[in-house]
Amino acid sequence: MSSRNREAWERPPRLPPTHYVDAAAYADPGVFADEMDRIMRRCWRFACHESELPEPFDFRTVDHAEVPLVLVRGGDGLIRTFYNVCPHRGAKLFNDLSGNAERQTCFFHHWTFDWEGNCVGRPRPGPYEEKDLAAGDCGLREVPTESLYGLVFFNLDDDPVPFADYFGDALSCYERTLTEEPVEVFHYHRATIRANWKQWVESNMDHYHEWMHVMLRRTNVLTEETFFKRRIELYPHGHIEFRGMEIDYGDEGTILPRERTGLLPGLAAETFHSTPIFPNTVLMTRGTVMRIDTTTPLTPDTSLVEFRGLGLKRDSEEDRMVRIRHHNEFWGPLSHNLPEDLFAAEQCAPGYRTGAASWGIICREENLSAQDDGGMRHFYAEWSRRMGRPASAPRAV
Amino acid sequence: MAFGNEDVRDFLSRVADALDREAWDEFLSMCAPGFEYRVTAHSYELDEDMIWLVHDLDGLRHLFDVLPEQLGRKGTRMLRHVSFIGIEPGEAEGQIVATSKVIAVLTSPEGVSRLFAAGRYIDVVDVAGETPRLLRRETRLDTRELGIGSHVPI
Repeated sequence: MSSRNREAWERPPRLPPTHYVDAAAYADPGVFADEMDRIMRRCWRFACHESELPEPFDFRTVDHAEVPLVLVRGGDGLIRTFYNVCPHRGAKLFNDLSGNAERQTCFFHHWTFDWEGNCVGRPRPGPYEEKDLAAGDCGLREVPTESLYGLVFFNLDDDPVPFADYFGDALSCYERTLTEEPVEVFHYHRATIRANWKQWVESNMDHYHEWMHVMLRRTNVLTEETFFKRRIELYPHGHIEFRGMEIDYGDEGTILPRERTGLLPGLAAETFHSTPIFPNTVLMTRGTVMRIDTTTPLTPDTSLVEFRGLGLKRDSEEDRMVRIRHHNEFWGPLSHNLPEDLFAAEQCAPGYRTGAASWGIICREENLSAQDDGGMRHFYAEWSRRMGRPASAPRAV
Repeated sequence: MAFGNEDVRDFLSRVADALDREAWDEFLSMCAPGFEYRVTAHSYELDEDMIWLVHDLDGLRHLFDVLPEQLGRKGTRMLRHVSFIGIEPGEAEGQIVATSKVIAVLTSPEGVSRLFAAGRYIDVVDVAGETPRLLRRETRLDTRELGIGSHVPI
């Protein structure tokens, strides 16, 4: 008999503790609160691409964090991130999702702020000045902001790990793709899913799940011949790079062929490349297009995932259409693959939420190639380092 | 043969019903050669129009062929409620442009219904023949959060 009774079901796997995750890591409110404090509020997190704020005074609001944020490109060309709240009475300062404003006036009492976050106007300021509350004490809350290859990151920690140290060489493989020619975001959509944020992040590190996708089964990705061309590179701070996956788009009819025109710089038509950045963002490329996912934890079992598609800014209408079709085929909200991935994340959640499932097994070792779980183990090693306890025993003691 | 508002309204209702019943061949039979289907939306984040899906007839055929293998829950149904607004002359003789509001409701196998998407159909209809045929459909979505998304055209 291979089915198990309760005792056997709840017994930890006979594996090293680095090779499985306790269900509580996905569902326990205390674990979630600690994740927000020790990971989300302390790591560099992706906000947007610079092309989303191309002109001076462009702004872009984001709810990536536990606090509302707004990114503003200043008159000096630099992008700054502020809490998107008026320091007067807490009203949301920028209510549009994007726009352009050299100065922003709060709708509520008309306090006004410049692009450096200085308070530069308060109607009838006398009574404040009488209380020694000067405009200089009423600026916006700014958080550290940095850019790399046009990717804009913020950090809610005022004293974060230095940006250059945090990423090291983890993103250098995208330097040509993102900088040789100007790129821009042409696709944006989001999905709120009933799943823990790590279940979505895992879906981009767990290449063993490829068997689930009808379109990957049809593109000859899943052959012994191709498995061992793959390589998983592990970088400090929990970043991971998957390289060497070759996709045969072929001419089967159901899949769009990939000509060699329209390739993004540095990419081959048949190569799939992905880089999960700790904690919550993944960059991936398919020859002609790049996708960036960003996952925002909302509650222990609800997450917001944002999806961006990037292409060349100089695209002709015809080229852009090809790029859009390539993007949408696998990665759009009406595509072959993405709804399957999101379905999987949601279908895994109830098991952990209810305690019906006790563990997540991440023990496959294939010399950091093929469908090795080493990427997930690397993610959880960083998770454990920051949380101060292993993912196999994630509850605080 | 001249087609009026009522005829076009009836035709678009039958198109929606074929999609609701997942009668893909019937839907395709109501499309003219050269048919193009696209789903669009405007991103206020990017302040840009986006195309989320675009297919010609062959592309749709392939899409429908793959559907039985796509991951999903058996018994999930999408119902499209179409409110016809009106027609205008098309760019060519024998064509009209029909605009409708559409609300797509998704019902789970357990029978729980929820709003999936709201938007408009902008249809170019060939009315030169014996029966109307779709030449082009743009599903212009207001809804931009589609949950886990869909393999089935809206």
